[in-house]
Amino acid sequence: MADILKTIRDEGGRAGITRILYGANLSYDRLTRYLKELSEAKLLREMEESGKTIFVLTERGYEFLKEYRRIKEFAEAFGIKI
Amino acid sequence: MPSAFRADLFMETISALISFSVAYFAMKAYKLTQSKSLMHLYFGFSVLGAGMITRVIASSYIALLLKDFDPRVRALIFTISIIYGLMRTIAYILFTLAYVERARSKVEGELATAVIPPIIMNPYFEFIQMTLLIYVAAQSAMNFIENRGLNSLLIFAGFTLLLISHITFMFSVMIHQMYLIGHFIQLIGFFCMLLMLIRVGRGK
Repeated sequence: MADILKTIRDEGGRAGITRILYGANLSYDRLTRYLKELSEAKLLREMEESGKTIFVLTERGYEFLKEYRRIKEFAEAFGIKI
Repeated sequence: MPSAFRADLFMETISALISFSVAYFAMKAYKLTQSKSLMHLYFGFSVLGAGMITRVIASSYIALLLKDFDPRVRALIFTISIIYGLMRTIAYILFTLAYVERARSKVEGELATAVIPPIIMNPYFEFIQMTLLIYVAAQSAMNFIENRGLNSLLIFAGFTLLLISHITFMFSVMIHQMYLIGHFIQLIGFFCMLLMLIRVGRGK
């Protein structure tokens, strides 16, 4: 799920489903399920733009990514892959 | 000796607080990732910190009893040494489990790759703990060799200094000053871990 958020952040904080699919390297079914969960957790916001659905990273999503990076560094210091 | 003893309690208290800080960070990481290794680290550092605090409180209490030449002191020192030894051993077993998980996933990855009064210390537990720490320190060394990061180096240094402190504690049976030196080495080990936490917190 962090990969989905990172992909959207790297796209400037907003991305369409095709971009996310490519960046997160997930199947379509799993991606739509995760996107729903992330939206419910208010880490993402779904929007319509020129007839296309796009996903926007929320402030909470940015905060989550910062926390995730800290935790990843902490785990890696102990040699634990997450 | 009394002033040296107070210094050991002070150093152990600081070490325990750092241990709880690492446990707290590991708990946050576990909640986010559900990684078993992080759960083992969380419980390991919690038990380690609790063990150290137990010894600090018990040692202070025993010091008070000693003033009154209370006959319960000997039994109390023995009991606390067992409790402390067990808690510390459990903590190191949990660290070992955290690294066993790591080693297992790595293999899969690779395939896919006295009168010196209240010195509460039990030589038998020290030996077991040293054996466990050798494994933990070796795994952290391998991690450092793999990724060459400063945070990994700090964890390697932390566990290695903990191991050295236990060796020093063993020698304190013969040379009492080694007890205090052991605590100092242990404290430096925990400071290495604290430095890693600060670096991670600042995002360096």
